Order: sequence, then C-alpha cells, then structure tokens
Amino acid sequence: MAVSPEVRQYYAEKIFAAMGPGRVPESFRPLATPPTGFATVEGCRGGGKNLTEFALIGSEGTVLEASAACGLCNPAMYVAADILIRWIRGRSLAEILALDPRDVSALAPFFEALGGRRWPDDAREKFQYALAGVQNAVRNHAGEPALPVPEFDEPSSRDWADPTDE
Amino acid sequence: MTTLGRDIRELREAFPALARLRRGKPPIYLNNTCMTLRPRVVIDALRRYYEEFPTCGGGRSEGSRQLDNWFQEELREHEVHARQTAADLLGAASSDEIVWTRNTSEALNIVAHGLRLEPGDEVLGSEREHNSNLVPWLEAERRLRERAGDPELVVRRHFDLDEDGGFNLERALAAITPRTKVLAIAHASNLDGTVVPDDAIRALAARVHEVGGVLVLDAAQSVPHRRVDVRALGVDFLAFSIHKMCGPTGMGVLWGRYDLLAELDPFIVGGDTIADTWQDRVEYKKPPGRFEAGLQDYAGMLGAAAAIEYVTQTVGYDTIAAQELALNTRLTERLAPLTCDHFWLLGPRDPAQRGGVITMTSPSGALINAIERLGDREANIMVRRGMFCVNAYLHKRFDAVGSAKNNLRASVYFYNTLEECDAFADIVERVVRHPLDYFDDA
Ligand SMILES: Cc1ncc(COP(=O)(O)O)c(C=O)c1O
Repeated sequence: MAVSPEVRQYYAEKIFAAMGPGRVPESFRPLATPPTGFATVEGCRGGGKNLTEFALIGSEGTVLEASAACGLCNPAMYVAADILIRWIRGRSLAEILALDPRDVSALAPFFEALGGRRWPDDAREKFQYALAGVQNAVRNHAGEPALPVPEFDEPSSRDWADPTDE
Repeated sequence: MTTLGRDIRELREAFPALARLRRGKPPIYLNNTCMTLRPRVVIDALRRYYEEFPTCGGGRSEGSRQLDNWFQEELREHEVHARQTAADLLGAASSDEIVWTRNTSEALNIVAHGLRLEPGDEVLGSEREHNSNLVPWLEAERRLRERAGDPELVVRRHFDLDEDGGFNLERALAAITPRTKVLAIAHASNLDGTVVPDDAIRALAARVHEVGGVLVLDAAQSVPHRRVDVRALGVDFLAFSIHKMCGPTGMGVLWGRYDLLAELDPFIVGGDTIADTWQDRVEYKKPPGRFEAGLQDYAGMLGAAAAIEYVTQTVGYDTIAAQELALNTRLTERLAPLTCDHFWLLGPRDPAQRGGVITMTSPSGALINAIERLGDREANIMVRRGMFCVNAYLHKRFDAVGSAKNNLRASVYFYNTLEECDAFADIVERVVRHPLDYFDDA
C-alpha cells in the first residue's frame, strides 16, 4: 500500500532522520519515571504489525508527560503516534476523551499537524488507532477499564477533502 | 555447494517443501530457529503409524510384560525404539530418563512445577532467557509469594551477559549463592545464536551442585545443531524440541537425571500417569510414565526417532556445524558492512560464535517491515521479525534506544545454500541503502 506524500515527508524528516544508535525521536523516548497511564493498540493493517504503546504521566486532570513506543510500525503509525503524543502533552484528560475516534472530522488537529492541504487516508486510519490508544492510556490513568478498540476502515488511496477548506 | 565433501543439493532433495514453487520460485526458508523443515523419512514415519498400527498405546501397567495385541505389539516396538533413540542422542543413562513432551516449553513447565521450592529458595537465569525459560519460573515465584504471604518475595534472579551478548562465566558463577536452588539457562540463544561453552556449563553445574541446586538446561537451540551429552556436561534436567531438528511439530523431550525425575511432582496428571487410584488417593507411575498424561502422540514418537536418526546419522553434526558456519559467514560478510544509523546486527561479530543465527535490528520498524515484506514478495524469503520471545532482555537492553521491538532474524540450517543467503542479503542491502524508497512495503 502506497504511503501518502504527507506521511512520507513527515516520517522521513521528523522521525527517521532523528533515529540512530543512542538517538531516539523525542516522542519515542521512554519516560524518566513509571507512567501513571498505559495502553497498547495494534493498528494491524498493511505490512507492519503496528504494535504501539502509549505511556503518560498525568496529574490533576492533565497530561504532564507522554511517550510512545512502536513495534514493527509502518511510517503512518509512527507519524500518528508522534502527532498524538505531542498533542496530548499538557492537554486535559477530559478534552482527550471528548474526541470520538470514529468521527473523521474529530481528527482535524492531527491532520493539521501533519501539514499539507489534503487528508491522506493512510494517516486517517492510524490517527484513529492512535487516538483510541491514547484514550485508553488516559482511562488507565483514571483507573477505568480500557475500551475495546473499534475496527476502523482500511485505508484506501482516497484523500479526504479538508472540511475546513470551504 | 559441498560441505565436508557432502553435496548439499542432494540433502535438499529429501525435503518436499523445498521443491515447491510460488510465482515460479522456490521457498527460501530462513526461520529454522523457530521450526525446521521435514525430510521425507520423517513424514513417512508419521504416515507409518497412521497406516500400519494406528492404535491406542495407553492402558498398560508399569513394567508389564503382558502380551499386546497385533497393532499394539508393533507400536510398542517403535515406542521403545524411539525413547532409546532420544536417550542415545543425549547420552542418557537410561531411556527411563526421557519424557516425551509437546515441546521445550512444556518440558520446562514440568520442571518448574515439579521441583519442591520453598520460600527463600532462588532460581537464577541469564538476562536473556526465552519466555519458556522465564515465565514458568516467574509463575513459581508467584506461587511462592502466595505461600509465604509476601508479595515482595524475589525468587527469580538474573545475571548479566557481556556487552555484545556473549556469555560471561564469571558473572554467572558469582551470581550463584547458597539460596540458588535452580540455575536455568539456555545452552544457545535463539536471539543471536551465542552458545555457552561446554566448559562453562560444567563449571556452573559443579558450583550449583555445591550449593545443593540443580542445573536446568534449555537446549532448544543446541541439540538440533551440536552433540550434547548430558552426563559429560553434568546437568540435571534438559529440554529440547524435536520440531527444531527436522521432526514432527509438537514433539519435545524432557530429560532428567532419574533420581531427580523420581522426586519431581507430576504436573499434568490423569490417564496413564497412574499406577492405581482409589476414591480418595492416587499412586503415580515411576518416571517417565508419571509425566506423560493421557494418550500420546505415537506418530510423533516415530517421527522423532526418524528425525534424530536423520540429523545425527544421515546428515551428521559435523556437516551441520560446517554448513552453518559457511552460511553465517557469508551473511555476516554481506550484512555487517551495511551497519548505519538505521541498521545494525545483534550479538558477537564473529559468526563462529553465533551458530546459524543472524539478527538485525533497527530503531525503525518500517525498515524491518520493508525487508520482510519485500523478501516475501520478491523471493519467497521466510524470516522472522519481532522479539522472538526474549522480550525481557530486549526491553532491558534496547527500550532506551527505541529498537527493542524492531528485529529481524535469519536462521539457517544445513539445507540452506550460499545462493539463498545472497538472495536475502541482496534484499536487505537494497532496503538499508535506500530505505525511503521501500516504505510502501512497510
Ligand atoms: C532457546 C529457546 N528456548 C525455548 C524455546 C521454546 O521452544 P518451543 O516453542 O518448541 O516450546 C525456544 C523456541 O524457539 C527457544 O529458542
């Protein structure tokens, strides 16, 4: 399955280029202290296994620190994890849980962080999985059980029109 | 390709799976650490049970000389032969020391459940044990914690390996204390192929015996590749899987010194493990019967004997070692120079120290995925990616660099060829040199 140009560029410049022995992209560095919330999600479409872990440290209704770990992820999963980790840092738990991962328009802030005017569908699917994953990490922090991760539609080569682009 | 004067192509002809084609190309099977392919003699042995004497092998009383019926008599002969073949393979004192299991995992579980550990006893392993030689001991720890009412009780401890994953005897010896009741270690690593030298095993066995403990050897990755003599090594229990040495799937062996097996509590019990029962009590058979619950995989026993004979007599350990070294040398020569920020090898550099295993790692799972997908699509290459059941070690060593889960392992056996190694190395080279061109495959 083809990687969209947006995902390819983000992955190559912001993630792949920052990797090396002893060099870990910022969102993927393990937390210095044990997490208060943790969840894994398997965005298992495409050639990758896409096992992604989300760890966060929350306090007083806010995410203070967060990090992701990717196991055999494809570029879109790395990108989605990176964008979600940056987005949840400093954000209120209530705001994170308010989004519905099945609602594509809820993903607008993530597409914005990806850059470009199109909403590539490979990113859409992995944003949905990543959002479901970070929400379960938030629930874990709050002492609530994880919700089952929905089966999101397989990515197609379709590009969503940016609904904010009237 | 010839090795020690043997024509490897001739050996390959014994393996029906190697004659298959997909998209006009044969398979390139490089996942032998997990399971090997099977030669026709093993398949024939399995068929023989089903076609000739497909009968119940259970229900005999211990040591009985009762006359069996026709099929049972023939089966019994093969069973006795199979157990003796396994005993001879390991240099065991008696075939009564051989317990058939489904695999190494089951064998190690039998030991971990059966030893009578007490709170205060400790189980020692290296930092790089397979989950099958870690989790049964963590479960033993959990049971002892419950018994002692102490949730903090530490039973399972580990010692560190060398920086490059090589075995460090001094560290291992130093970690043995008077509390060590079990030293449970892998003879050879399924992650990077490193082997614990025989001298080191002997020294460890001597030390652990001094403190009143036992040495449990996870030989899943050694018995298929080299001669292992339990008495010469001085170990107490040993486990291996027949399916990693050309044998039928779901067959394994637990060997134990007879006096120790006799003291081990049975794990899975019921039919055929018992000498007799009453409404309120049970008397178990002696080993090995007490550990083989229910009707067994009789076809598997025939297949196991055929596999052991094939590996040790038709092929021979010398050929296996020489061929693995030639193949791993080629793989190492091709892959080590590709080392870069996104790709490097695990374990010692010298292929002679890594058996038939070469493991690549990357902080980028996409790169590992791309190699695996491209290899499968273009050249029918079968390798394995992931954590290979040594999660605990990979987390400990590589979480901080983000590569713990992104590993790819190629593992060869005597039937692999230099051409196959080159085909795999070509794919790796393409992806590692131009990763961004291959992310569509990731
Ligand atoms: C070192 C080691 N120990 C134990 C096992 C478990 O073997 P099995 O899955 O046959 O039980 C393996 C399997 O790969 C192994 O490599």
